[in-house]
Amino acid sequence: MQAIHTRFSPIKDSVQQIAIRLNQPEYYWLTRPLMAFLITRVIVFLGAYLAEIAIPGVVKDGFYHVNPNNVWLDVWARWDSAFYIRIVEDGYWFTLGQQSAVAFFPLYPLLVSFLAPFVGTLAAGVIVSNSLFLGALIFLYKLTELEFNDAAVASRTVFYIAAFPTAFFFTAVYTESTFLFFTISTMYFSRKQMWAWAGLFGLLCASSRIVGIVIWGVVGLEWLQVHSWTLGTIHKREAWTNLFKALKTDWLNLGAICIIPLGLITYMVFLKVQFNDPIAFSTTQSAWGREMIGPIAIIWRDLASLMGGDFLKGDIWWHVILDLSAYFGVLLIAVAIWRRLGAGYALYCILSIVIPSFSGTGSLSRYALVIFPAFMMLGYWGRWQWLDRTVIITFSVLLGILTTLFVNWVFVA
Amino acid sequence: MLQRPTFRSTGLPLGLAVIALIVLNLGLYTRLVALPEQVVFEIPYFEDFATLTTNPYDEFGGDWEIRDETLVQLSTDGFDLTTYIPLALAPEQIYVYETKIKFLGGTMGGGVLFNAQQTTSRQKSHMVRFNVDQDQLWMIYGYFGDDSDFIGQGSILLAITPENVDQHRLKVQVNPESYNIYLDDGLLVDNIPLNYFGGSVGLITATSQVAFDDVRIDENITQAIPATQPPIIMTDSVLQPTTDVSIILDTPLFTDSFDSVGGESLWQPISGDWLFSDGRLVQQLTDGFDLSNIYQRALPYPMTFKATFQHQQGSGAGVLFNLPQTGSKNGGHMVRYIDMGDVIAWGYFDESGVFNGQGDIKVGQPGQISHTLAIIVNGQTYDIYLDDTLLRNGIPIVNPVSPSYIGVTASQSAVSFENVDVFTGTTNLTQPDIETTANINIESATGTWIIDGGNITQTDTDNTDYVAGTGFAGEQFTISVDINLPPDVPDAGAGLIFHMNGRDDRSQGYMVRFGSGGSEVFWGQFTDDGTFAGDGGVPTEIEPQESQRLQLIVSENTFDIRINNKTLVESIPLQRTNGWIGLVSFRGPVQFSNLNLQLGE
Repeated sequence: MQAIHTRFSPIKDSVQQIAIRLNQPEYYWLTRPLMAFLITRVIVFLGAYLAEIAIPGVVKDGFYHVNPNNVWLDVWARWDSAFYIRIVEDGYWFTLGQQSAVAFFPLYPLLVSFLAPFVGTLAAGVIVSNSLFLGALIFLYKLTELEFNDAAVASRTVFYIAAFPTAFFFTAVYTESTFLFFTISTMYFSRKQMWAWAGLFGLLCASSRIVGIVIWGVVGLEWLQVHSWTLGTIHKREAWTNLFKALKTDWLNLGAICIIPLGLITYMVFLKVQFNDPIAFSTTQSAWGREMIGPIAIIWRDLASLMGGDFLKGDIWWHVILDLSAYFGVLLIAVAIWRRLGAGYALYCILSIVIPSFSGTGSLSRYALVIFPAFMMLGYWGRWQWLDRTVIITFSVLLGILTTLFVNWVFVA
Repeated sequence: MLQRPTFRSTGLPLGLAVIALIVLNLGLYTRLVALPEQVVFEIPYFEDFATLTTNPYDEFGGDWEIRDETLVQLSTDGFDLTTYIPLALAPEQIYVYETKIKFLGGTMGGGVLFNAQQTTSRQKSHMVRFNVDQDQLWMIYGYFGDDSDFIGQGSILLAITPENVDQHRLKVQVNPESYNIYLDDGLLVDNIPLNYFGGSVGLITATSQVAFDDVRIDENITQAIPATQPPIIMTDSVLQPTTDVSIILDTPLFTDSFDSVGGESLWQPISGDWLFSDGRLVQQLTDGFDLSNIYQRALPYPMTFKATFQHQQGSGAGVLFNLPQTGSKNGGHMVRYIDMGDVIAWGYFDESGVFNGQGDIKVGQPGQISHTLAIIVNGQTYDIYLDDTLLRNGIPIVNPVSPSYIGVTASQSAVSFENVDVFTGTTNLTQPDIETTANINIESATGTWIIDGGNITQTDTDNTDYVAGTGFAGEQFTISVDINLPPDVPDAGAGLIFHMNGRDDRSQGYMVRFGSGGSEVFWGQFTDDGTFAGDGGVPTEIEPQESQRLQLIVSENTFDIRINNKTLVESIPLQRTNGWIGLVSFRGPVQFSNLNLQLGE
């Protein structure tokens, strides 16, 4: 027995040393996001698996199963996932008047296509989604710590976003985690004034989703702010003098920021060459029944339909409650963000939620998922214990319910 | 404070950005570029899978393998597991597409897709496949619309058990504007309207292992003429015009009595104050114009659209059709009461939403009773009926759109809509004009009823009255049918039943039938609990073993019985004045043929 103990104790010791070392504050940037990732993903994976096997499967035309022989993976391909999988396997298509693949930006399917030959498209999609989600959590932790200089705020922030009711999309074959990763990393580098890195990540962000282009404006605003030009000093001569001076002295960094739109432009050129319609991603939106009638008309219509329903009988569109809650929640928090974190973050929040609402409120609860400044603000407010507990309980319960619905082919967002 | 650009802060990321752009472009143009349509097959095409080792077609879900010289889809979990045969058929191409299908296990079955407009999704394609519902095997047919939702055009109950593992030959004959379905060389349905033309074809399965063999696509349609009758029991929507039974090809696209409410409703208001209440869709506002609610699925032409409604306050109810989109009435047509009440007007909304009248007609005040407004859309024109009375026909449709959306509307009035029915085809609603044609929809209540050609046979042999509904109810009508009783069952009988409580509920219904092998005719009424109480009977002087024609002329308060075109009994009083109509058989097998129903006086 003594011999065995002697043989294994060096390994045990080194594991213990690593554990102790990782638990030091200088490694929080890794351990806290990793913990949030592991805890929530275990819950989400187990929940989805149980939801699929325990609830009788809904059988209906249109409800596909990409890999019915592997429930763990199959549950992560629902609704729009089919578009990404088809893009990877058969390339883009565009048929006027029909729901077409061109609505989905290329970065995520491209990343999946690199991995797909080795593990299959579905598994590749899940791996890419989860890997980039972990990366996004790490960047979010570092960014939040940078802004608040408080590890506790950063820890709460990453947990809140990982447990958000629609956070299962970060695991599914959807583009949310890709977009989140490149958005936060761009913001992180711009706040660190590493403009060329911000340009690189911003470029990729702009090729992952249409609202990715918003990050260009946010980074630009940050650059202006660094050079003493802000929305608050726009009327002052000194601000403009500083700006002209910056144009002369810091043109290289400004140029680096200006590569961000190339992500979108590359995709538009591709669409022009392939389908003779550079804005095909917008053209095809009508096939989803989306109309550009403006956010006020859209919100008013949804509120009216909500008020016209019978809550007691359940005769209401429950999506509307989720989507409107996300919409107004983000707008309200944006006010606090403006005051605490500045105009750049706040404008990002507002534009990210308002732009999609021009054509409908559907899926806003998914779009809100990637509006990370709102979670930073929640993380800050979470220092009040009652709020922290309320947020965690509410988010976790809803995450379980919505994951169950999503897996069983109920449209969530 | 500016930092000096270094390789690490500027050069490296910019270099990586260049690489990222190159990778992005290369990826887009090599990995994500649309694959060219690889048309590798041409018609005539035949494949028996005898020499193949892998699936030669494009797969869209599922686990397709060559097994025992057949193409097998192995997964029993997926619903729309498809493999497309890479063909590019011209829109005007007439062809026959057939395959042998063998059910190996699972819960549904397999079938075929054709005139598929793309091979990357189900969108815009027609489908015919086996389907199991209520433990019975059906052949369902229809198409996947723009949003990939399946829109049924009809279904037929088959005399095959769902567990049947015999090989069956499924054949689709695609004509210029319609298609026919054959099973085992027998015609199942014909003249089903096509929504999509040309394109590709495919094989499809639903939660089942299915083996396909001998896939053939041929432009020689003469080979598809039916040789024998297929194994049909009855249809849920249509009986086909084969020999004797007269039918109109009207298939209900959907019917909504607003019983199911909640978030899943496909009715979406675009204006007004709408709610579901007690099985009705109610618009409550009395101070707005064209307050509309639109059904969210597009429907194809030709179609018949009927809406039954009741004004609760004011008048102004009506319908919308030919709507190009779901969120607006612009571009659509409208027919409705105007707020004065005794006039129905019709016209269309232009693209900016301005209403352009096409005409109006004076009708009675609607009051607060139910009315049915029906629109028959032929494609280029439409006809308007109010309570089965033709108001105007041949009105041109401005910019016809098919498929397009329908809706219900109300102006200056609170209106409750009781139900909406939409059929494919264009039924003639002036029912008294239907002399020999009936839209008959046989449905068994008890017994086993088999449709074979123009004959309907009840095969169960117990000593009880077996009933099948016709799907029709009426107050005044004439119905006739030829009846063959089995010569070797001396107490067998058969006849007609009417004024039943429900389509498949004989209680309170009047029965007139032959008894004792045809030696007598008797009549009476079923009680509330389904017990028969006889009212009278007379012996017949007809020869046994021959077809006997039984005819009933049902008036408001009496009915007459005629046998072989001679009046047997007249003016038998009725206590009940309306109800459902059906066939009845005592023991069996009993054969019915030449079934004719004329509604109206």
